[in-house]
Amino acid sequence: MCIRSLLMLLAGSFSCAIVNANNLSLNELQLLDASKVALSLGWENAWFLDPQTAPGNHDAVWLFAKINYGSGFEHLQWSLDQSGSLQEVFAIETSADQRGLMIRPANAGTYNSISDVIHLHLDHAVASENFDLRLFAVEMVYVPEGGFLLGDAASQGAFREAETDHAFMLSSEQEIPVDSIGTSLWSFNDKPDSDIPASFPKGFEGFYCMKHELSQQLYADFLNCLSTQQQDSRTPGSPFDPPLISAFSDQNRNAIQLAVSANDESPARYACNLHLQDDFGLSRDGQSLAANFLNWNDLCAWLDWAALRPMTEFEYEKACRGKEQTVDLEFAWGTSVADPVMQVYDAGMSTEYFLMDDDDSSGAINYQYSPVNGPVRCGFAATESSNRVDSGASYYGILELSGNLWEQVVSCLQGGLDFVSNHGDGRLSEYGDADVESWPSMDTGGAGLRGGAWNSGDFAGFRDASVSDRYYIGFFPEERRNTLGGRGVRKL
Amino acid sequence: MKYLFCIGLLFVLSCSGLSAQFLGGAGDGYAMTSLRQGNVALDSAQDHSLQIQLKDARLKLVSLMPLNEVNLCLFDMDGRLLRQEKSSRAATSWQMELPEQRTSKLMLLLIRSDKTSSTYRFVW
Repeated sequence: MCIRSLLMLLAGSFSCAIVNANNLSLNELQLLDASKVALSLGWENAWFLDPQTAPGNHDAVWLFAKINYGSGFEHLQWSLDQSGSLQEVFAIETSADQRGLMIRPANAGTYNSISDVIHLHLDHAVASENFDLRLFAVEMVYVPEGGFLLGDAASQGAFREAETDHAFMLSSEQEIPVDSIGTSLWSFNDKPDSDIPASFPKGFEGFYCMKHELSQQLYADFLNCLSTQQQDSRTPGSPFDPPLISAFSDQNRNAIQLAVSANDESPARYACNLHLQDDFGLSRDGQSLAANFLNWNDLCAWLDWAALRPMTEFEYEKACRGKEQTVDLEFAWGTSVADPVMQVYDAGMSTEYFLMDDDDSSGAINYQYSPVNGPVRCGFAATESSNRVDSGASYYGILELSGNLWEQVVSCLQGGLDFVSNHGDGRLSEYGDADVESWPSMDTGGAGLRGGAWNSGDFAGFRDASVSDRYYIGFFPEERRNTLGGRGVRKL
Repeated sequence: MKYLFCIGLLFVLSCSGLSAQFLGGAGDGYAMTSLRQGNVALDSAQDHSLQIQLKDARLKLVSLMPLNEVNLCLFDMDGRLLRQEKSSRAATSWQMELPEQRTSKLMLLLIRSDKTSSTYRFVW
């Protein structure tokens, strides 16, 4: 191969990162000095809307970093003072706990494609000349402060106002009385165990929610930052298993495999290999599929590591419905009609998609005992011309809140009501578990399921994927099921 | 220009009537990048079957699976080709001499026989 053609291929590998690749891209990471890094951030379909333009929100990128000096990865803290985006394309804000950065478009507008070089300041200088620095970027959507209607009074176990038997108007973060009379909050099944404390996050205050469910590559990259002991806790298999063994399951489109086995000196390395071929990380290997087989402990460990937190079931309904009126048995896109996936194309690729029918009111969903037999790509239905219903998006533009994989949420049942808005600190216990105060655990209970999954369906009045359905809210996600995934939220 | 590949591109959709919050394309809303410096074992999010070690002025690559006739090209960050090697059939490991100058930023381009490629960037 001649040098010219090699250089052309090289140049193509740079330019294509913006044009054809993932909707988020990080490139050209450099350490400018011991406490300052530079990189190029590319981002498609970003928006920053005027508050008067519904839904009046913006999306964002949650950026956090890990560094390994040779004895395991540590979470990096960022300086509160960020000089930011060289061409003032992005606004960059450090979280109050300095565990990450929230990046959004600097100027109001909607953007097909946006990119810039950003300079970021670390809170402490890099401590050694030998290091492995990793930056992770996760797309988020801001859910603004404001009241919303809770419960459609039609779905199984839906919240309602006791007196009127209609949706409950949640209009502050103050304590909410729970009773069968008056204007109290009520439910006929799985009613809250007590009044809802003021400290329980209700969704009235603004918060950021992951736009997509946690993907399989993201979970594999998480595993690759853990010790052998922690990896052992976060997968059902052993990190000492031989390569090409599935970390979770070779069924239901779980693609995460052992690429390199652990040994006495090094933890294992994991990669995606959906098509079970000899090489990992190829274009059809399922990196962008939503990560299934995650139980509550797995999800919480990832959230703690990423400095996020679980969402509550109130926040789930706010993220779906926003300021809209309720529709009986509605899905996340605001109608009660669904267009389930029957077949995917580009299976396992970052472009995996399906063909919709022409019904304007039917939202895209992986649901109704899906013949795909597992999760589909995060964001599979959003296209260059889709609207809210086509893409199956929520009021705010959050994807797959109905179907694909269950959302694991903090419930307002016993064990859940003690939950407060504590974020993960980026560090796990020695055994790889989340250790954040007030988060529900298998000992306390207080977590459950909302939103349905690929093998849920409509049956005899049950509709698991409807926004207000709470039939499985009391089902603690202890086992690693093929339908369980999740996502995280946080405040700045 | 120092940041040759980071020119801001910005296209406003306001004339199209589309709502960006419901649009999408390839990908899953996630990206990761890494920078390894010094005598630290390398790996890649793109190709976890390959172990790359940087040691004693040599770049050592060990593959779990034979990768037939892979082109290995080492560039500096100005795009100058420093080394080029082609693996033999069924090879599972290679070693490549690194330049004597240790302060360079280098990039390894690995081109497989099926024309897919991976890049690895590191400081030497």
